[in-house]
Amino acid sequence: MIIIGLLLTTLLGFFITLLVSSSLRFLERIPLSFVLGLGIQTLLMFYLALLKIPLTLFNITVLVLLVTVFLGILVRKRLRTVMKFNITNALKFKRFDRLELLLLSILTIILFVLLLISVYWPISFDWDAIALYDWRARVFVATGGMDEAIKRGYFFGYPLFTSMAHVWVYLLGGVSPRIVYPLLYACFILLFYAVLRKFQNRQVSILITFLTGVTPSILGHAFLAYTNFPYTLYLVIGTLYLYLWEKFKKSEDLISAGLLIGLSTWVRAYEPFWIAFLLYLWFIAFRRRLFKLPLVCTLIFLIIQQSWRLYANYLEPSYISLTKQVSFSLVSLVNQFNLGEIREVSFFVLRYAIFPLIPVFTLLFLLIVKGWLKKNREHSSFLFFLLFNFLILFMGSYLFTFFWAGWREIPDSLARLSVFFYPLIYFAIGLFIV
Amino acid sequence: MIIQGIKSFNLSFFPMFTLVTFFVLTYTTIITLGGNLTSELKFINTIMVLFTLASGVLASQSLIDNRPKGILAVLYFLVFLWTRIIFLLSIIVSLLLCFDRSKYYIANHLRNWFGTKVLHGEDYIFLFGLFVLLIFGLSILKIGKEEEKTKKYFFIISTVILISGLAVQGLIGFSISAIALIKPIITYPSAGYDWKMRFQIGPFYDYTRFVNENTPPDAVFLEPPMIMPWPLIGNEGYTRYFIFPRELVKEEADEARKKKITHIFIVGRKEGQWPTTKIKSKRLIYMPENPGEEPIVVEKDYDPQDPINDLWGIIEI
Repeated sequence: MIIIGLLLTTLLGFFITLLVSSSLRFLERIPLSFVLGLGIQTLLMFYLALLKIPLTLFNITVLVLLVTVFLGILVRKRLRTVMKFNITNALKFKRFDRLELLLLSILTIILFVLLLISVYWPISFDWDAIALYDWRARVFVATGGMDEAIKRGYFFGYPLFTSMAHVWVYLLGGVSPRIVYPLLYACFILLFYAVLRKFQNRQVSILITFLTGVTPSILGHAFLAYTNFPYTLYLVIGTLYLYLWEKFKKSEDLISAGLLIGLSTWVRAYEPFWIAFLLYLWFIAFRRRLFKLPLVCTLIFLIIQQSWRLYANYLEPSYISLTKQVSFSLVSLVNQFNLGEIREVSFFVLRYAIFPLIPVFTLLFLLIVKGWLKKNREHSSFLFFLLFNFLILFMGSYLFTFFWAGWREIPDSLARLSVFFYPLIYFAIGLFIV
Repeated sequence: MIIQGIKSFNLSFFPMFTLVTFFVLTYTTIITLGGNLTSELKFINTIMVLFTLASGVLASQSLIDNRPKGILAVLYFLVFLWTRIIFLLSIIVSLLLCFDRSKYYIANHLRNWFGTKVLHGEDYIFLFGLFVLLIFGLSILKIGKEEEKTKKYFFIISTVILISGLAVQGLIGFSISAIALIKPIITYPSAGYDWKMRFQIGPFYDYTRFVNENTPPDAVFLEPPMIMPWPLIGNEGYTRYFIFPRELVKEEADEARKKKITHIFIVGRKEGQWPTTKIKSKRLIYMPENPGEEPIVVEKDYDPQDPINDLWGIIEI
């Protein structure tokens, strides 16, 4: 039952990817289908709950099927083209060398172990999931809606992506919704590889994907029912698609980026890294004097982002809306400007977010120096994007001190929040290896 | 001169950054695993320090290949000595740490014999800085003759060490947590939901089951404050997960909410008894010590002095 349900989710995503693009390779389309399918389905479930329609297996299945059929009608021509492809050709590879085989085998073993852990262990050692994400899911399943969970308090801290994904697994008869996370991990690995492969040879792409896949903070979250890993996935893969658009100018990449970054805010709403995405997008748009497509992408992003924000802001007056966040930040920045605090925050960020990144930075730095000595500046814009994200991290951490007096007590949150820098830096490493 | 400088820069960069990286790897491996000196960590610590030593030797070897003359020879000697002594010390400290856990594990900080912190971020940053300055200075000033082969050799060795170090760090960290979670899967492959929850959560899970079995779904509980020694049962966000749809109320809640209270948790004496005052009760239900036994039901008021309050239970009011 769970397999059928998750296939339905993937089918929904498959039609979304068809709507966006007809030229994706099989190994890119399938993981993207699951990632987009799960994101959009959870969002649809949220809309269903907003309309006070009970969150039951029947209702959700009918809704997903209706949307899937509707999308199917829209993309029927593309579907015919895609269905013509030969699966044996799609899976045909040049023979792997020993290193590639070794790395792929290790990744496969890791995935197997993650699946084993996820199938066996119910939500039991994931503190935050017990306190919030899985708690909300259980209440939704028990009551069919969101009202009871809202009444019990501590509800609006995070959007409902993880909770709705858990609801789906529970309704499908699953005992542990943990299974979603290793599947997302597998998709992340495949998508990271698929994008990097467009810039690099196979061996380097596999090596860098492997290093990304075995990053401790990513592996550590790949079986935890937290929001950190899904957030990293949507943000990173969205960023990579934005970069693909910058380099290859295909509109489908930008639409995928808009969907993925939008969904990252559906996983974690307060993090400000979408700002880097929008500014970078519009910077390129103005440079190229191309506005229609970036506007569509921004709209897609905003529709997804504002769905939760508007709702939370409407029901919870203390919820920090986007306008409140911006205006309060600006006012605090002017009124409470404090050099000592900036210094303290900088050290805090350096110690807990930047310092653990030094090993990967080292490798990137070496390659940048080597690349620049050879006058290779092809991928410099990605570095600027990376740098901009770091500035947001510093700035965001500083502004956070105005919102939360106890910021010094949660270095772990900052470390977890910075996990997405690892794949981005590894991707840059992959770009710079000559 | 500039080209010469860039060439030596290139030559010295790889070993130098490899060293820096392995210092950081050693540090982060320990820190990310919580600073606890578990047996696995002792192993990682030692392996990582050995890696560091290997890369240190490689780095200083590059200087041997390019032995300087005159005043630079002194500088060279210092770097050579520094790399070896520091790395040797790292290994000795690491091995000493392995001898006695309790002696060196003090409140999340690893300390050496003299009670000062070792393997701490700031110390490493200081050491990196010192090392970077020395090596960088040396490479810019240029020592001896540079060979293409040596350059290539160092590039390959350094990159391989760096990449394998990163991979090893990730895989070891993952293996430790994965082994802990897989062991029970192999030993008890067909274990049920309750067994798994009990395994991860402990006796608290049994207590929540006892609560669910002995109270109606609309029960409203007064719970202890979220301070020690009641970090779990006092945590509303945590406890509500296990006893839903029952509700929880804190002592500081408003009177209207307090009026709804139908039950009160009893925390056993050994775990920090609560409540600590006498309470007029309909009846008291205690959780038996051994699973499978019937709950002990007593129809009297709750008195914290009563010896039965060694057990966990519920006050029905």
